[in-house]
Amino acid sequence: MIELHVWPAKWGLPSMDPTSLVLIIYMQLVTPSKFTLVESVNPDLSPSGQLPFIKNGKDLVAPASSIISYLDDDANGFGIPTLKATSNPQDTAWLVHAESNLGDLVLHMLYSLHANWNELTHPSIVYQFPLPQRYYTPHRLRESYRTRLESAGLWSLPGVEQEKKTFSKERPPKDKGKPRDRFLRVFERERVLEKARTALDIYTRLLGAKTFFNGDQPSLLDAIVAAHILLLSRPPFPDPLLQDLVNTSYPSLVAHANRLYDQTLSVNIPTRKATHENVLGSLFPMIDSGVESDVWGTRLRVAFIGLMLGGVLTYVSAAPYINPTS
Amino acid sequence: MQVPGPLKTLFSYFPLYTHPPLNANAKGNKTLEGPTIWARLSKTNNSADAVLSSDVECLKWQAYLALRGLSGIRVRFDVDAQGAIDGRLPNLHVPFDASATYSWSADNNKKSSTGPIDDSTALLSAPRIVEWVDAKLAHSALDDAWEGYKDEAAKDESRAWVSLLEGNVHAALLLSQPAQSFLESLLAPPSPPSTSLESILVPPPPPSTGFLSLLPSYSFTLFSPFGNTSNTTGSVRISSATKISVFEKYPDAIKALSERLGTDKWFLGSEYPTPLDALIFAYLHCILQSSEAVRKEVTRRVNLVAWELRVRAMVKAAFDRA
Repeated sequence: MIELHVWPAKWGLPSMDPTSLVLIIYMQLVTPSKFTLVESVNPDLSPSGQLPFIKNGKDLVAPASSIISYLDDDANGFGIPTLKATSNPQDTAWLVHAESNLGDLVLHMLYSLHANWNELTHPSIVYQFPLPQRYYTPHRLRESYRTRLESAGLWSLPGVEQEKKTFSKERPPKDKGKPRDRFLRVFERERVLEKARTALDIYTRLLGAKTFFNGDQPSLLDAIVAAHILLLSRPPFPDPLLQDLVNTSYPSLVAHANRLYDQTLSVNIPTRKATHENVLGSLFPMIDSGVESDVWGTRLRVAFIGLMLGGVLTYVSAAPYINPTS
Repeated sequence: MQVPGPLKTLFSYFPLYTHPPLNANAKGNKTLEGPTIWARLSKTNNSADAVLSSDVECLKWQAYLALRGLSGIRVRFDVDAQGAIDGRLPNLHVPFDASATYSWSADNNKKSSTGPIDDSTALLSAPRIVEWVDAKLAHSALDDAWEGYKDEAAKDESRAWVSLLEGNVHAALLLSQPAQSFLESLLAPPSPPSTSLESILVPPPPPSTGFLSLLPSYSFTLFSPFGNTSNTTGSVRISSATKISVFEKYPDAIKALSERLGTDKWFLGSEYPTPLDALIFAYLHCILQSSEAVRKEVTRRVNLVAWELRVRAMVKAAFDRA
């Protein structure tokens, strides 16, 4: 039985993370109900260091694209009809575009907007972690998305940056700060809306009046777009910047997402929570057991441990011979 | 308050010399002969007539200038990235043209300039190159129907191809470059974050010590005379599984690119070259100059190689070495 380890379920959706949700929808389309969902918060167990990943007997496969090729590979005995899109070369390009652009929008809503992070995403996930990790892992998670959002121009926190400045200077221009702060925030929000509109318009045009993007059978592109639209429209965001945009201006995309939801996610998928095995072990970094060509790293590690043990043994064995000098 | 006597004698051992501002270009001339692009040096071809950069960003702007029909632009490679605007090459150094539409900046400069500032030239950062070309040719891409593409579907598709190139292909290029040794990464200037692997991979790579471990992942900034450098590549872990998946997706991307080109003259069947062609040329050229692992995928596709050769001749013709 294949186990798919994903981020936990929230808001009526089987996972709160866009990549995990894409995989769940895809697997429901190709191997309906023949896999188990494991809700996990431990990405360190995965070979790529990130969720989602798959465990099939002894095989551990990650990240998502490797999982899809693993499933398509007949040698692994699944015998599933491949959901390859039509033989158009531009479909490869559309998959990448959807994942990066729509993914950026979802991540912006979940992780970048201050109100959403404080009131929705953080409380949803923090209690799932065991005790010591609860205090630092959500922050690390948010930081990991930061570089990507910054380079896309979607990491905008003008309010927070203004606050930081007031700590460094003695007399902050508080009265000047407020209207400018508000102006900056409105400007940033307009920019984000513009970006979202360009991306979503492209997909509306691509979908047109069809049921699915490639005719009447759903494909990976449908899974990607639907997963991201579901995550933009369903969760109860305190700051509904893009949610309102999607729900009011893009009814065809929302209808497409709902269609895929009814087809795949309304069925109950067997789920279980990951066992918190070896909490103490997760406090220390896992060694990458893959094809690591870092010979020097292993050698240095062995040398360090050897020297350490050697030093301890020498000290212990020489201790009786050391005269305490007065 | 006067500087006390003994301190004055001490300071006299360390006199301060002031030199006049340098306006000379690479040859030592004071005047700018024509628009000059500041780009990153070509790694493989160091001869005196190498005009094409081997960095994707610089090359894509060079290709853009050439494919829009400009010529006679000079190239200089001797400016370090830290001397450019925002620390990012390429920049375009143009002689000042008072009749151009962007002369609002000239008015500002006139009001605030004090002292010996040379107002006769302007240095443009990469995004402003488009405005300059539009002003020079008196024709903007937005004037064309669908920005020069065949139709609206082609214009949307071009966005998808841009993400493919800047995602899968760029990731494969970055991973195929030989890894910098620790010393080099300390001394090298900070690279712009938008081209690092962290911002391209989906989902983003985890911190080097893992999400759940007690040890924080190390990422430090070193303040050196060469500028601030920060070891950001050390702070994320690119696992072998991720590397394998990047190199799995890369041949599919090149195959799709080759199939889409077919035997067309310009990508997506456009009549005239578009910015997408400039981007594709930049990536193909850099791939053909990098390691065997990424190069062999492109060399297998004859139509891509032939297309790159043809466009290379066009782009080279537009530039001279300054």
